[in-house]
Amino acid sequence: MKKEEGASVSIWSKAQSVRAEWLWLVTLVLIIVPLAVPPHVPFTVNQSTLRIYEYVKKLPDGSVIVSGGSGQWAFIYETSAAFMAFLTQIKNKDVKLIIFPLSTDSLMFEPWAVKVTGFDKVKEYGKDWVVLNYVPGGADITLPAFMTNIRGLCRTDVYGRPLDELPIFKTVNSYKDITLWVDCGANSIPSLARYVAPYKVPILGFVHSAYYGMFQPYIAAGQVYEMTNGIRGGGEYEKLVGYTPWNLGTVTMDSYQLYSIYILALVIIANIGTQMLKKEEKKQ
Amino acid sequence: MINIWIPIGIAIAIATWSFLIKESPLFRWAERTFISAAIGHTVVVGVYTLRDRYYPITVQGQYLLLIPAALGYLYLFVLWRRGRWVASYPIAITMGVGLATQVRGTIDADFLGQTLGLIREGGRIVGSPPQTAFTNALTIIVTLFSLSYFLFTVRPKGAFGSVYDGMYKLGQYCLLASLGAMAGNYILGTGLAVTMATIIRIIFSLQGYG
Repeated sequence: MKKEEGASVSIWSKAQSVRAEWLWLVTLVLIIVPLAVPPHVPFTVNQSTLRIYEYVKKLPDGSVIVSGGSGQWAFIYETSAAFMAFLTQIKNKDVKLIIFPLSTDSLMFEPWAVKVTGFDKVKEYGKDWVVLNYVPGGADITLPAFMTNIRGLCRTDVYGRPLDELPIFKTVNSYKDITLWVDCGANSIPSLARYVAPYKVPILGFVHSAYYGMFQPYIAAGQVYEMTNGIRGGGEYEKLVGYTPWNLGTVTMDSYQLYSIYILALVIIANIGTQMLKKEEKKQ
Repeated sequence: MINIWIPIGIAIAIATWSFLIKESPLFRWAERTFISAAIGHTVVVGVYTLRDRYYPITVQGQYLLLIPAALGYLYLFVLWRRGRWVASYPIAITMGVGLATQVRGTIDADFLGQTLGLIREGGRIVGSPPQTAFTNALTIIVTLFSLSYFLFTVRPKGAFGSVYDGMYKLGQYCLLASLGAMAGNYILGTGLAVTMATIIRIIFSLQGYG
């Protein structure tokens, strides 16, 4: 009997001394294997993603969309899968797109997504879409100014062309001319709820899954129309629009599901282990 | 034609991960390359920004904007120990403007907006599908319990006091659960997302995507 107790103690104690590197190595394997041999586990489309798809589908002709957020390369697959599906959905619609970067990173990130989806091939730069330059000062300073006077805040586009020379800005200068605001940044939603929502401009967010739960109160309060949930939301959006050039969400969905199960298993094992060790300590 | 940035990107990613084994010259090379590239990028963006900011002065003749421009240059006094007080003026103005806009936005969106949202959720408990009704009810209960934890000025006594004590204790658990979920979400969510992004970037690059 004593021997058995000793054996169980050693298992949980040994488990505590497992090096984190080994756990990360397993994570790497779980990510790489489904990418190499995709099992294509089926998934359903969430109501949130469906609401976004339907909303964009019903956008009237001539709508002006502002893509304003702090899209970051670090979170590329969490946010850009849905953003690229969105660009694919709007590229054949009669809409205009203004990219207003809220971070220096998004200055490269959002134009990259435009290029990859081929949005720039079917739309004319300056007339149908434009990339504004990054304005320092933070979203708390730049967003209120942007909403009331775009030409006053951004004097030129990212290539140095004055906004007065760009045809798109002949009819667009404030929140009154904006139909929709989209955010492909990981965590820009609170700023948008503060400075864009009061002007009654609908906001769609392609947010990181780590923030999806945290930002739900903004939807409940009516400040944000809807959000997609990270890679999963991206995969769902891709399913709805058919095909996007990289299909990022769909190809990564299997890895995402597998490592999510793995993390959940680790959390459960760690909790059981802690309780078992406590029990053993009490016995001793 | 091979895009030279793809092998460079892959090499930097692998060199960064070499830190998992131990710190090595390979890791230090990746670290310094990244920092210098980030600084270079910031400088370039800064130069572009300066060009845009000067556009209304140089081309449109809006000379009134020379005042904020001069205020901006006063920041440079921070580098000179005896003249550092001069830099406090632009810093004070920037902080004042920043705080004013932030407070307005926070009160409107976070305080009033969220309170109204909570009331609206309460109104949607009756007549909603069971799942929505349960979520809304739970949100309201958890919010009230959590708020009771921050009641410092008046502490109810008597019969209501014991009810309050229960709410206080549950509020503590709600806050702990929320903080745990937030930390777990942030660390695991972002950590794994970045890891996955790097791996997929390498695989996609090898497959020939730009």
